[in-house]
Amino acid sequence: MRDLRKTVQRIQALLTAGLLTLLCTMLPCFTVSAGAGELRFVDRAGLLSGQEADSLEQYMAEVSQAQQLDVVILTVDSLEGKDPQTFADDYYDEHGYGFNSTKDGVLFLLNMGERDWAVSTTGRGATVLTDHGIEQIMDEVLPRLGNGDYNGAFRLFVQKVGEYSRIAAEDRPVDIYEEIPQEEPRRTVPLRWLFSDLGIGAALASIPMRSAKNQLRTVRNKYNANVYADWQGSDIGGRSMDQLVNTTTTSRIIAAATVPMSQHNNHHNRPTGGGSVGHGSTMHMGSHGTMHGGSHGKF
Amino acid sequence: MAKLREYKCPDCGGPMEWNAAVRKMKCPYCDSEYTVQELNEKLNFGGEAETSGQASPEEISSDFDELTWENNSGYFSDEETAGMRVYSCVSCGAQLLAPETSGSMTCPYCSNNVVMTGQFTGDLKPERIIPFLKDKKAAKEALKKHVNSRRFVPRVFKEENHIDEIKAIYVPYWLFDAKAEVTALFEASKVSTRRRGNVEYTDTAHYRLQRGGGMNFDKVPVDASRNIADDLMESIEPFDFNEAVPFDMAYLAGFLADRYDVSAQECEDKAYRRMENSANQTVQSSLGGYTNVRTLQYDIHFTEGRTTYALYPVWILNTTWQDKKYIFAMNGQTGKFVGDLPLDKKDYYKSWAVLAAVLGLMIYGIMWLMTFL
Repeated sequence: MRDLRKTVQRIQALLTAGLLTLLCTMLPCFTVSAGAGELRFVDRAGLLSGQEADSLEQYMAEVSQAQQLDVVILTVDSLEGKDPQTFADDYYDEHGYGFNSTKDGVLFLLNMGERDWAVSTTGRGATVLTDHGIEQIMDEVLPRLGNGDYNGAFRLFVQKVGEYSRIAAEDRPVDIYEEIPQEEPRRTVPLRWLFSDLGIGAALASIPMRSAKNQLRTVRNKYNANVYADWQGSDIGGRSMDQLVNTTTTSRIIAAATVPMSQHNNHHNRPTGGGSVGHGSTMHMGSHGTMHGGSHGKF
Repeated sequence: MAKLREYKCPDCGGPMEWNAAVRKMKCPYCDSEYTVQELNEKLNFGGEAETSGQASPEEISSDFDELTWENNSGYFSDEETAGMRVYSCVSCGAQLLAPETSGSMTCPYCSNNVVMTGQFTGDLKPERIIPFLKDKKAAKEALKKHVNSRRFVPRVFKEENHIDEIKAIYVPYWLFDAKAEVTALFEASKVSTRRRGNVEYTDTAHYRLQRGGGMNFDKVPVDASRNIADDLMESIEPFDFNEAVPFDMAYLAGFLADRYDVSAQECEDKAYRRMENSANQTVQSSLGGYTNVRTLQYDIHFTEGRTTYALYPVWILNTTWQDKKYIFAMNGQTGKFVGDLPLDKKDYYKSWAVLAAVLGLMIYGIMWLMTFL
């Protein structure tokens, strides 16, 4: 009896240990991938209040997590001589942002010193935020920046990134798409046409062949005796008389002509198939060897 | 016994024969040339005067429209036909007139043997003859041209030794003169349309057409030998009667003649039909421009009928190929050459296949080229 209780206790302990270990190994999945403890909202320029910053940070964490894209916002006063795009790219790379090995993520940089903004996209971030997509987002964000509503601008940015990521997943990334002109399948002449062509050849050949065959026949009965007729002495046309007896006339009214309307066939030739291609994101190599997409501008 | 009338050269005694090239009687040994009249004088042959049986104009009555054919034929006398015999072909029944001294002969129509069967004294004698104007050389050349200018002819037709067998024969003909009288009445109309505004007027003019007149025919030929194919003889027409001369036995010297054995009566249908067709065609062509022609009355009858019995020159050659006989004829006056040729089927279909393949491949190639445009 005692042995049984001991065994059960042992099993329980083992199970608990196992469960705990399991939990510990699973924990990393729930940790934010933001490059080993990095914040997503880095406000060096001090644009937001602490409360706003925390709220924004949390929001960004949610969106990043949900979309598996690191959404990072960095505000600075000076770019230390670098150009905005490089600064953004480098900051992203150096601080280890990005999900998975592809470092999926988006960084938004605001330089208060020269009033620059830049967006750096990496991995899936570049797929989700195309050049056109960034343009669209900035169209909405820039006015707020201009007004000084930095919190609103940042929140909107994060929201948009989340939205675009979702759209990309459900449909296709926000972009300008053009239909690919349908490539005409290479035309071939199937072999069966050779047989019909031979048939046509035989039919065409029959023309000279029949003609040659007809030439073999030269013996024919003569129908008339025209060659023996004395045309000078004949007057068979002589006693001719053409007499007009009467003329009857009928008439009919021609109905007003209805000119058929020309049918305007608007042939909107949409090529089917062949797919469509978006403009995508223009990529460039960052200083750390990673390819980044993105844009920048002034506000 | 009547003397054998031999046309011996007055200068060397050789056999005088009609020579188509010089159009005179010529001696093959010494090349002496004489016209028929001259030769007759030299040899003291009387020519026409010595013939017997200068018949009074013979009237051959005809069932057709009470047409009677006027005729002036005489008959051969013993003296004329002495030395000439009738030879009959054992196979095709052709009857040929040839000198008694002719050795074995082959039938020009079927190449079988002919045997002497009798005299032809008392036969109807031709009034006119068109002497040969095309000699054997011309005949052979015409034959070669005829055969070589056509495709898919079996090779045997081009063999030289066979071509040499071509023979000159005088073929008997009935020549018909007549006048066709036509009286006809037609109803016809002419239709035209015109527009005025939105009304379309259709004018139909009704006419009464009178046609009539006479059409003269001169020397419409129908061959008077049963065993010669009529369509073959019709195909080498026309003969120009203006070059016909009064008949004389001299012209037959050295030539074969087919024996007349079909009467004018039996021939007249053919002549009648051809003349009628000519008259009808002439009337029809005068109705041009009219539509809806309706014949109210059409009457045609023939008057002033005459027949002439004449011999016309024809070159004949027959060829056998695959158990079928092919016969060629050339008009001995004009040189017109006819003769149906058989089709060398193997050659024909082979050529057809090759041409079809070439054309087919060309079309296929063009189709492929088009895909690259």
